[in-house]
Amino acid sequence: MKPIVTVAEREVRSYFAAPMGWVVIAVFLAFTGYFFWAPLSLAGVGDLRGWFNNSTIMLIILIPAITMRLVAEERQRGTIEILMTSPITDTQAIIGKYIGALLFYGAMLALTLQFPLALSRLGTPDKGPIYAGYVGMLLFGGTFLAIGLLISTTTRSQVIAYVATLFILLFLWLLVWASQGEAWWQRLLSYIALPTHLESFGKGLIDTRDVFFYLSFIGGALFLSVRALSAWKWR
Amino acid sequence: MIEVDDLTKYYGDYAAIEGVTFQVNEGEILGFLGPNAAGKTTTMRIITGFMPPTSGTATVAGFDVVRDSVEARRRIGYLPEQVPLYEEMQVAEYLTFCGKLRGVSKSKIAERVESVMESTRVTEYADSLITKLSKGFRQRVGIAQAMVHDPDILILDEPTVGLDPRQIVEVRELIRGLRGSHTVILSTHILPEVQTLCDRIVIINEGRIAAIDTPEALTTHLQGGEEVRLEVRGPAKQVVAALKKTAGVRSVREEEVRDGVCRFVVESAADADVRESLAATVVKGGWGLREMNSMVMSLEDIFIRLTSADKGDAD
Repeated sequence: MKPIVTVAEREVRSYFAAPMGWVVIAVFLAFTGYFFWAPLSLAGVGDLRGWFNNSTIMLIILIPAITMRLVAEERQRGTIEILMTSPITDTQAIIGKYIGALLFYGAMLALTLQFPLALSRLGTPDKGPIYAGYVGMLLFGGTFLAIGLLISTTTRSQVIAYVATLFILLFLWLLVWASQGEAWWQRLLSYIALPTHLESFGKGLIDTRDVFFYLSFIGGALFLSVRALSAWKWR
Repeated sequence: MIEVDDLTKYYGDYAAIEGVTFQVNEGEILGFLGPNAAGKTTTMRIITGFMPPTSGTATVAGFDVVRDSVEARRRIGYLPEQVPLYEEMQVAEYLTFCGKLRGVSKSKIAERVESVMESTRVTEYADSLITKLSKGFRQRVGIAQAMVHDPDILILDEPTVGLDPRQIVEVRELIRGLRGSHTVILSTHILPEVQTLCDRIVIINEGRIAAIDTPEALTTHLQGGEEVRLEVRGPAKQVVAALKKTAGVRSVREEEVRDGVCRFVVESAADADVRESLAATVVKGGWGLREMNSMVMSLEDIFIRLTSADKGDAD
């Protein structure tokens, strides 16, 4: 457990020590602020459901920027030799890195709490969808992070890690379009498509099936990351 | 302390090392000597658990580096060839991270970091960002990193690369101070370094071990032992024949014949001093002995000979 904490702590620190971390937070807050402000001031609509949907799109662009460096940078700079020759297992290294990225993402998300807080000063919004929406955002983003970590483990180029992650996330997102229908394959695609499971959260429902979906997606991606890291050593 | 048995590592079809076997005793400093791409780094990476071998085994303090990798790694401090530094961290912060990662307890970590910064002389840069450090200081921080958890075993891949002469002397002093209390493997292609520091030397070339011995034994015993150079006035063929018959002589090499004066190199068994009998032979033949001196092979000679043996006269 201790090595995981040590690895995670270093990850979080390095996000805030490099410009990238601040840029990601700034861009995320600027856009989510715009998504919040625009309907409120132009149409007088203070609905967070649309806001959640729009914000998740930003994650497709920003999460790869969070995850691209996780392993690729260590391989590029050779610091991976520190990790891989210290008395920690590959699993501990991967989980530590994942938790570090998740904490950074959590901090970024926490900064958007100002929007629902602002809304509650203006009126009395329904609390259920807000709580559920944040749980959904955390799971959804957490899944993106796990996919990004997996991609970062397979390359030593951060640029490749960013682009590949972006495309995969976009693809998993766009599966929704292909899944409009009742044929078995359309239902399957609909199940795999990441945003499908976000819908009920927006309505204020935390469905254990959706939670299970995201958690198993995260677990699967982390498992593959560990395998990829170990396989890289055997190459 | 370290046992390496029949280690082989393939990268695709290319064998980086083949059948590498050696031991390192407790408290010993072992020099790992070889030209670039000889397999030094590969061997070290396997011992440190960074990557597994294709075949063969390595154990560190009784722990197999593949099966009990974590336990083996706990006992090792490793300075890779490319010093692995997190540029955005401060020196003390970085060393603290490395120490924690290797299980140094919270109560001891500050003291350990302080102590390694002291012995590698980077204390005044404790709060500097690593990215701002010069090459020499980076190398020292790399060495500090390897020692922060006070491991029994240190594996240093070219520790003095990039240092200025004074720093090199300091680092050598530091390593010499570890003798007895630590087991050290030191890779280098700087010959005086192994000669002054190491108890034993492993010479590795093209992935295979060419020799293992103490520096003294390598310089005196290995590769045919002693050589004597002779300059004789007389008929070359007859002189060679007579010299070859002299007791203790292994071989006679003709180097140069000019104006009836020949130069020979006579090789003898390591413990036989053949100089007097050579002189007697020359005198008995009625030839003129103009010069004789015994050649002591330097480690350089041995190294070059061992590592260029199968390349013919390329060197």
